[in-house]
This record gives sequence, structure tokens and C-alpha cells, in this order.
Amino acid sequence: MVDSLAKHVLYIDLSRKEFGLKHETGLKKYLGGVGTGLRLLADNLERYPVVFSVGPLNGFFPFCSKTSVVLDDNGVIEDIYIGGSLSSRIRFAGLDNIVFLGKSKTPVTVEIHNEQVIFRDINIDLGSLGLPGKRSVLYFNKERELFTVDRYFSPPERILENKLLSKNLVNIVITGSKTYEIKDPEKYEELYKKVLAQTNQMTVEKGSNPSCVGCPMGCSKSKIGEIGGNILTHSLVACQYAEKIFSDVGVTFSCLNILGYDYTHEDIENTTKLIELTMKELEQDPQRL
Amino acid sequence: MPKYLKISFPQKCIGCELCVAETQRQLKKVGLEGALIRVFKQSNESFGIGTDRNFEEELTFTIQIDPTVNKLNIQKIRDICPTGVFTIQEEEEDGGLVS
Repeated sequence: MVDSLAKHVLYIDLSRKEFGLKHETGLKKYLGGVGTGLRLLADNLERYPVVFSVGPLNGFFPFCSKTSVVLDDNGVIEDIYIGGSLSSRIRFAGLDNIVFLGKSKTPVTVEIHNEQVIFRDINIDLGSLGLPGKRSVLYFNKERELFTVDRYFSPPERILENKLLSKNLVNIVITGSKTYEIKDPEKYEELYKKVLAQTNQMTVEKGSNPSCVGCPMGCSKSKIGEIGGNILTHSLVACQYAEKIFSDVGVTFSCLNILGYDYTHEDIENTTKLIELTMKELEQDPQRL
Repeated sequence: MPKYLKISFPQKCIGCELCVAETQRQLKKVGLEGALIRVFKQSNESFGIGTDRNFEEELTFTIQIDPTVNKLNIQKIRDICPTGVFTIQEEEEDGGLVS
């Protein structure tokens, strides 16, 4: 079952080579993705954070296939989104957020298996880490000077590259090997298929390209990630091209409800306001000025 | 005659893992652990070493099926694949196969 009361946040301190898992009940009202990411950014600003987040539907429903990354890019708060298998592996690791704090003294590879972390040398063969079929690999491609997930999907505009390399974080390998039970599997399947059938609501053409996990589209757009956009979509960390599907509060509410989350329609509607307030708080934070 | 799920067009796989999710749903769970279908990115999954990880950005997939998947509703698994990777075949009594 999902934890409907708290977000599971893995803190990874690159300076001290330490890590720890916290169950953060205060994050619940932020829904997920960019919402929880901004809150964690604000709460850890003095530690030079980069926050990876998934939303409550990632791993469970089609088109919720992106990973949100929130960071402070030299005074500008950026929210970017990456496709591929990363979000499903974070979800199946039992995590909602991964917060990278501080800076490593030397370039480092971080291997995550569920809530466990091993700090490794960058010269290790990444193919030897994690479990094939259950892992996602985010690595720095020197030739193209960008980070790549699954050898194919990249974040936009090289913002993440600058930030992670400045922290000496060169590679991330994450393996998720947890499973979830659904209280009402029949209703879950019915809703899953209803959402999956809405490919006509997608604002992108079907193709035969590598697809993000959980998305049948195979589109040509997801190779490069997204930056900014609809707050509800990015709190769920759904694909921007699925905005029509998940901006229907009824659909979103049903999806959350079947998984055991006790969000109300009002909670979902208030998410945007809450995130705007957090952004204002961040903009006025003296640590950033 | 018993029917079984066959990976007839592996080159069409786009890595969406909807087949994995369908199989797991039939087993009343969500996740990858214990999945009867597994999708791997590229056959050797070699990444090289150091910071010189320069290789072709061509992503292909390989699929493995556990034969016990045939105890599940394989028609649903075939039908959920957006690119038609799977077919259902019949096994003759003498062990031969008919499509």
C-alpha cells in the first residue's frame, strides 16, 4: 500500500557521504513533484540542494512518466522534467523525493537501491551497478556534455548538468525492487484502462521512438525533457502532453483515491496556490539574495 | 490446444513496460519485483568507465518472458502492447507449434 500520510524522502549528503530516509508528513499537502520539490528546496536552502521528485501517481498510472528536478540556478529557481524509466524506479524504490545536499570533494557515482545508498568512484562500470531491468542510469555523457537517462532521455537546457557537475555528482544509478498492493485491484484496473484509453487527449503524435515507462506514445518529443509549465501536471509529474487528461480534477481525484490517498477535490485545487506561496517564500529568502 | 505468449516482433518494443505492468496487475501488485515479463535496455547494458562514456545514443530493448506467464490472461498482455510485439500461438500435442 502507498503511504498516504507522509512522503518518503531520501536525503543524500554528498559532502559527508551520508544518507538517511525521513517520512515527512508536512509534505503531504504539496501533492508531489514540483510542489514537494520546492518545499524541500526552501527547507534545505543552506545545504545547496537539488531535489528529484515523483508524484503520487508515478509508477501507478499511464502518462505519469516524468521526474521533477528542482534547483536554484544562480538565483533562479528552475523546475525541469526528465523522461525515461527514472520516475518508475524512484517510485519502486519506495521513494517520493531524493534530496542531494552539499558537494562531494571528488567526482562521485551514487548508487541507490531502495532506501540504501553507496558512494562509488566514477571509474566503476555503471553496467555492474543495480539490477538490470529494475534500474535507471543517469550519467554524464562527456561528448554531448549532457546528462542522459537510459542512454536516450535528457533534461532540457543544460541547467541540471551545470548544477550536478558543480556538486561533483557525475552518475546516479537507482534500482527499485519494491512492490505495492492495491486495496481494490478490479477498480484500479478499470481506472488504469480508462486513463490509458485517452491517447486521443495527448497533444503529441504517436511514434516508434523509445518511450517513457508507462506511456504508450513512443513520441519524438520526450527525448528532451521539459522546463516549467502547468503546476498540477507537474505536481503529479505527468507528461506535459497529458495535461488535458490530468487537468480534469475528477480523473486525478479518482486516481489518487483508488491508491488510498485521502486528498479532497479542494486539496488538489489548492495545490497551485500553495506552490505559488512557496515560490514567493523562496524568492524572498535572504539566503538567496 | 494450450496457448502461449510469443515475442514475435521484439524490434518493435519501445520500452513502455505496459506489458510488465499488466502482468503484475494480474498478480495483484504494482512494481517490478517478481515480474514475469522483463524489459532490458540494450542487450549488453555496457556503459564504459570513467568520464569518457561516449557511445551511440541508440536505445533498443530486449524482452524476457517467464513461461509461467501463460497461466495469466495472455490476451490482455498482447493487447496492451501499443506496438504489437506479442502474438498468441497454439502448441500442438506433439510439442510442435502452430500460429
